[in-house]
Amino acid sequence: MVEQRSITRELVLLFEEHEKELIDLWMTKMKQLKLIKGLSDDEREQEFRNIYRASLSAFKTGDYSEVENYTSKIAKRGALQGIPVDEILLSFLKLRDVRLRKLFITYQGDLAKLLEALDCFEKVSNRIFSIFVLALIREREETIHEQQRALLELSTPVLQLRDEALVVPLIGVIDSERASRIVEELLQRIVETQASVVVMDMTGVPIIDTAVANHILKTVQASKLLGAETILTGISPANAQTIVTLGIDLSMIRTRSTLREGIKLMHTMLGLEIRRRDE
Amino acid sequence: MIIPILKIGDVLIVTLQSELTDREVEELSHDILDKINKVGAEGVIIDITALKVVDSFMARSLNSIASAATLLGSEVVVVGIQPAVALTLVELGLRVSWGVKTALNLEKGLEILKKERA
Amino acid sequence: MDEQMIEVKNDTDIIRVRRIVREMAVEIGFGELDQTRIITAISELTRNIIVHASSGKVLIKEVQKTGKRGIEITCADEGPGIVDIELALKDGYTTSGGLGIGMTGARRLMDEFKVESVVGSGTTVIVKKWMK
Repeated sequence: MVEQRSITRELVLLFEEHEKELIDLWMTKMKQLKLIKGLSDDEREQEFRNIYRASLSAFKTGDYSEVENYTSKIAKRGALQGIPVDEILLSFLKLRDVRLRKLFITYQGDLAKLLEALDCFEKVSNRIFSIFVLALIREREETIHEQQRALLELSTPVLQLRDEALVVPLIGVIDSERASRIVEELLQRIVETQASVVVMDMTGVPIIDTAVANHILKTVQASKLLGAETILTGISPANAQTIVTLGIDLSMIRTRSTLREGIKLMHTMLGLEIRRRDE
Repeated sequence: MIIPILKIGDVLIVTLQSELTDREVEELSHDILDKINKVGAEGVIIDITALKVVDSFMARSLNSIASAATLLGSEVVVVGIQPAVALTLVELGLRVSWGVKTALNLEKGLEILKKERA
Repeated sequence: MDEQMIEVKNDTDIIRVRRIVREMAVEIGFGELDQTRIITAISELTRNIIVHASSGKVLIKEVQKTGKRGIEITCADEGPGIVDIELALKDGYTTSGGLGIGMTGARRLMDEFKVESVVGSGTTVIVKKWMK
């Protein structure tokens, strides 16, 4: 144990002493490989020095929190500026190579010492590498999650058809997360547009079960409290049958077979009449 | 707390400015019905825009005011329910038992009363 | 301020409980809709204490579960207790002439709901809501 600690100290000392030399070498290699082109020279040097020092502190103290902080920052920036993941990983591996070479050069005459140094170096270096990979994966997962959320919002549009009238064309499976989103969005839009009629079209909803029916009921009732009446359209014959079989009571809701019929009813409710100009 | 009950034409307008205790709600119910009777109001608008919470007691009280007002020949419209309050009331279980007329805001509430009387 | 105990005995205390619950819900980071749900639920449960037991205690605290933050509220009284809990949790059941949606409503508005009651010695209701 004592041995290992002393070799660790030696490595830290070595990397500290040759910081400038190693960073310069690292930068040169990176330039040759044309990696991380997005940054200016100054930015890059600053960035590299930060990585260099953060990883060195992991060697020195055995505490990886600085590395973790830094890698998640890099992962975020990478995602933001569109730096490819492989470039970020290759850059890190290049730093490892540069340091590894320094070890070989330093301990070339003493195989036992070299092996000992490698044992210590590999352990820390691998750990840092895995932290890097994890941070990148986490960032990707977050991006995917955000995109899913965005998609979810896109899939529940609330459209203003005319003054005082909204149309909600529901498409796809409605789970409870989507249902909450729809009702919240709809209520907000009712307030914004002062809508008094909402046409909710279910043509694109494959299955209406008890849960979906309850969500619809809830949406209709909450809209009503804000002063808006709902017309439900496009319930398929199969779904109508299911609703009856399940014993769900939607009788308090105005329904029409098609969106077109629903919009006609909407016009009636708004006191509007649509005619050809020459009639 | 004294909640002013304004009279504009045949309509009474009551604006709730802050959360009320149960006792204040009961007093208010009493005052509104009293005033309907005194001035012969045909409609009452209760504006609850400022209320961030409406629990079952408040909901029941509004319902009672509306039912009693009907007996006195007056129509009650509750306006300004916040979206979060509306959804919470529905989730709380307020269903068919709640027969109060509602509108988005004061203006819409007045429109409803006008239509009712036309 | 991650735990607070409030003695309740009259209707002004209901308003006080709501205000304190709101403060804590905001601090934990709940959105407007969830704040409204939590406060409404607690309003129902606190009124239950006052109507059925005339006085009791409400304990509000922040809780955590697998990295999620949440709020836990305990409403305890030493009132007559509930004879038939299942019946009390039925929609529309009331012994006080209310809408009969207080207890069931509170359960629907929260994520977790637990009630313990001993006839003659009191009722404790514990509810929780988690951040999404």
